[in-house]
Amino acid sequence: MAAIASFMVGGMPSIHALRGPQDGLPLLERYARGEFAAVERQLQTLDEDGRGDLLKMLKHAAPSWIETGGATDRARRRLAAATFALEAARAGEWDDWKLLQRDVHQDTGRGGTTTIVASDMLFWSAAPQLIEWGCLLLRGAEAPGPLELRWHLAALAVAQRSEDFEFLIGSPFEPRSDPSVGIMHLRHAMQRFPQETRFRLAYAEAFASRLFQQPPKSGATEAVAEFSALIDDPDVGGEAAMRLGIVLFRQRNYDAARARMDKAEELTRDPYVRYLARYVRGRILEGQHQTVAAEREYRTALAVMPRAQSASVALASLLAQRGRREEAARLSVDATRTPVAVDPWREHVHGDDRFWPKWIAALRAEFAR
Amino acid sequence: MTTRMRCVAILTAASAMSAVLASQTPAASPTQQAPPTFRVATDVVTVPVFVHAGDAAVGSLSTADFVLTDNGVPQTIQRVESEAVPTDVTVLVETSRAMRASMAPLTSQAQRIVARVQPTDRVEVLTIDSYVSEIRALRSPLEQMPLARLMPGGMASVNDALVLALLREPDDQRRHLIVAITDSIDSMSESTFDTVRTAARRSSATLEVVWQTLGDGGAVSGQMLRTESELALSEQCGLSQRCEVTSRFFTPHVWPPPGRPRAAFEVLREAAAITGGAVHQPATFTDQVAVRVFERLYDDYRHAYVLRYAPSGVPRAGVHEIVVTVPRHPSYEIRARRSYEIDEAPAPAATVPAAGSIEALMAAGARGDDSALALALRQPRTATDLVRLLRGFPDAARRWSGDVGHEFMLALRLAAEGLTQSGDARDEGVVLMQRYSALARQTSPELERVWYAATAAILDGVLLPTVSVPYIQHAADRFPDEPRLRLAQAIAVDQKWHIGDAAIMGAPKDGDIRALLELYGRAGVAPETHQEALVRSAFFLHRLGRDREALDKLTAAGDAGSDTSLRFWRWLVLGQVLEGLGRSDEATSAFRSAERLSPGAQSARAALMVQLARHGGDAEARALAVEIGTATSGTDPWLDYWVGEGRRLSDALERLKRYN
Repeated sequence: MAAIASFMVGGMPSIHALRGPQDGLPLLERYARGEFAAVERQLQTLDEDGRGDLLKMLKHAAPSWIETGGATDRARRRLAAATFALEAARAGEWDDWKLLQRDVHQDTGRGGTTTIVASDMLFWSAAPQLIEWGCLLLRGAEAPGPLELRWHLAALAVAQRSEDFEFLIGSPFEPRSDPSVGIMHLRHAMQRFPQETRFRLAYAEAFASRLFQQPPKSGATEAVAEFSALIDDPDVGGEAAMRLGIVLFRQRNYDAARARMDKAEELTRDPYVRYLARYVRGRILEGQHQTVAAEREYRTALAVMPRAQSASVALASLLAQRGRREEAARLSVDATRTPVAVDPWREHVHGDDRFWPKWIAALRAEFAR
Repeated sequence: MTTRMRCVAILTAASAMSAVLASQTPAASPTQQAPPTFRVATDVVTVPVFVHAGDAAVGSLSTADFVLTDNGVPQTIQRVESEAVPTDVTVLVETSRAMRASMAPLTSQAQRIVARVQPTDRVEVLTIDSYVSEIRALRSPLEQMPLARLMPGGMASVNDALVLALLREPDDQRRHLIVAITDSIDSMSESTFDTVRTAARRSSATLEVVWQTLGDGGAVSGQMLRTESELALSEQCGLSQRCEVTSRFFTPHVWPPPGRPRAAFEVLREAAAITGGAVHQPATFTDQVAVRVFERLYDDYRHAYVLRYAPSGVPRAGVHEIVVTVPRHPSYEIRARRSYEIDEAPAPAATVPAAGSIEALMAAGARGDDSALALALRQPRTATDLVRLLRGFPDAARRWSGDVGHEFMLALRLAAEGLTQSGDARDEGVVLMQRYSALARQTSPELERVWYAATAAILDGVLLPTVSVPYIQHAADRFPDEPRLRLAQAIAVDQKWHIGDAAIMGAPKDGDIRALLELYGRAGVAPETHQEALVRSAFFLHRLGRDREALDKLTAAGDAGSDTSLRFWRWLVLGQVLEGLGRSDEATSAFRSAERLSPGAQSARAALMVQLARHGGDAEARALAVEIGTATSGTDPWLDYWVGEGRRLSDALERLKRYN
């Protein structure tokens, strides 16, 4: 376990800023009072142990703190505590959410045959457990309502930012020595809000995101099926088409990928979706040596997301090859100027993280009133 | 030559440094094979050249000593003093999560490199993680603030960073040296080593890559290169058979992947060599840390010769092989760029869209030129032209790069043109509006809200309740918290029984009446629509002959507020209601109040004239009749009554246009 503990700390330059679980409750109280910026800063200083202490505090002390509010304040405190847990989970941006300890052992079957079995033991870090604690707190309280939906949308933003699909959909493909430790957070959200198609989109994306692993693993079939089923959805159809296009692009099915990107642009004017549709079309066209058409795609991508680095690099490279060095140089300088522009291509696996500012502001406004 | 050409070439002679480098990099080009760094302003190529004899830089050569060929064709060169050509230094530092154990030394090295740059030169610092970020802009080292400790995180966009750095052209009159402190293992870029090499061929810069932890891992790995962290993990797994792995799944790729042979970096080495630079690997018993490498290169760089030539006798486009030699001293060693490449492609010609085309409409919208837009909307001379425009708009707009709000505003104005027609044009107008409603829904709730506000204004204004009622009802259901949509819905329903469709609809039945009054009631819950909903429901009741109820509504509505039109309507309706209740004097007074609110309004004057004529005020009635017949009529707010939310169309379109 020492190895696990050292992994969880991870060598990150954070500090264990709580002296123990007892320090967490005042932090929660300040948060519930609306001292968001100060509490957020303090949460960002926590290391894995600090978040672990926070989780312990929430489990042991938060229920009574919520009850202390009485009938009039109970719901507000409950939402504040669950949202506080979300913020704490999000604070350790670059800490891993779990440890996988690869275990290779011999397994003797019925016929006395001995095989070598490789499976992973899974240990969740505090961040995902904080989210699950908040999830349980809200879903155990009352019938699903708009505030809980917002919380779940915010939780999805945090989870997708963590890039840990296993937290969302469990381990359908990975060998785990103890499958019961799976969390499958999306199942909870979808059971509470079966009509919310962003959860269905996230479900599909969880399959798609695992395709980035090296070497490629199964999951593409599931991702294609889930995204395809969403294309006619009036709320997320355009984004589903675009994300399906990316999966097809990764599979080198370029004609089909282009068709999905065209479909995406028929369905939405969301700049994030448009950028990705145009950028991927540009990549495909460039790969097919249609450089004039590729240049046009990169330019239109940058028109909706100025300075985004993926299209800037691609366009600058193309321009330089065609002797237009000055514009290439200008693109290079603009693209790296700080603060650098958010690049949908670099961020697209983070899914709904792009909505985090909106959801957290809405949640804070609810209980800070 | 119509466009500028600019390159840089570097030649170096053998030195202690180059001897070290030669042992760690692929075979250098033959002696006196001179890949120049060249700069070309219009048609002049500038080529810094490094010449060494053994360990010593050779500083006494003249123009006549050099021979330079471009694609084998000897060129006429002139020499300038190297010290006179200042240098721009780009420092790239990888700060991805993979480098997190090296942050302190990386920060220190970057800081020391900045400190060593001469005041006459300039330096910039860029970090490499998932993004490439300029953390210190290009300026004199004297003006640079000290670097704070660099923070690790994210993937490594190494190749993108190299491409971006190579394509920067800080200044025509300066040389450009890039020092990239990285392990060259990319986990994010779409650029590859090939892309870097292509950029190197077009670049004026000299690229030096200094690996931080990547090496051969001692005697174990032989030709395999591993980072320090990979080496540590490998040792752990080898000892325990239980490996701790992390869970960060999103790694688009790791290139070159683990188990990478030295040859995997050959293209990167070639890219650096093309620019006259090299890849420097940490090695035991050498001080190949970035700052040491920089010190040696920078010193050489600042003492280079600079040759200029105007290319002649060679086609401009294509690959140019450059060779610089010093024939009278064949033992001098030269290391530098081998080639550059120019690929001239004409910029696409701008086209002027034809009048009446979708492109003309979009162009007017993109310019934000309202008069041009109005003209473009009037261009279709026939219904067929208009139908063609309406049908073609979505596809043309899909690839448009203008603001989203502008596009939606254009779509709505075009749809409105269709709605004012009949037949196919009207149908296509409705289709276009519905299509953009669906688009707005998938784009953002904010856009959908302003879109529906604008469409409700259009639909109330075109007085087509058969079209507008179901549409606005849908809008109001999407945004139940938007009182103006509820009001627009009630107005659209109200229009059924007053205007053209009355003959079709017949008189409202009891259920219709209850439903409309309920709609007005719901619309009147919000403060901003309370007064108008009451006045409109009062007028509806008056038309049904239910004046007593109408009076109650008007009394509840009151006369307060800044909406002059609304107050005018109230007085006018109140006059009619009071007349209906037989309270003639009060009715007359109400009409006079309306007339005072909007002097010259024909509706108020006419109502007052009729009222006076009925109740013995003949003289005044006759005078009013003359005035009505001869005077220029003023603004009449009543004309806006039946267009409902259409009176807010300008504001609604403006809000839509501003959405982005």
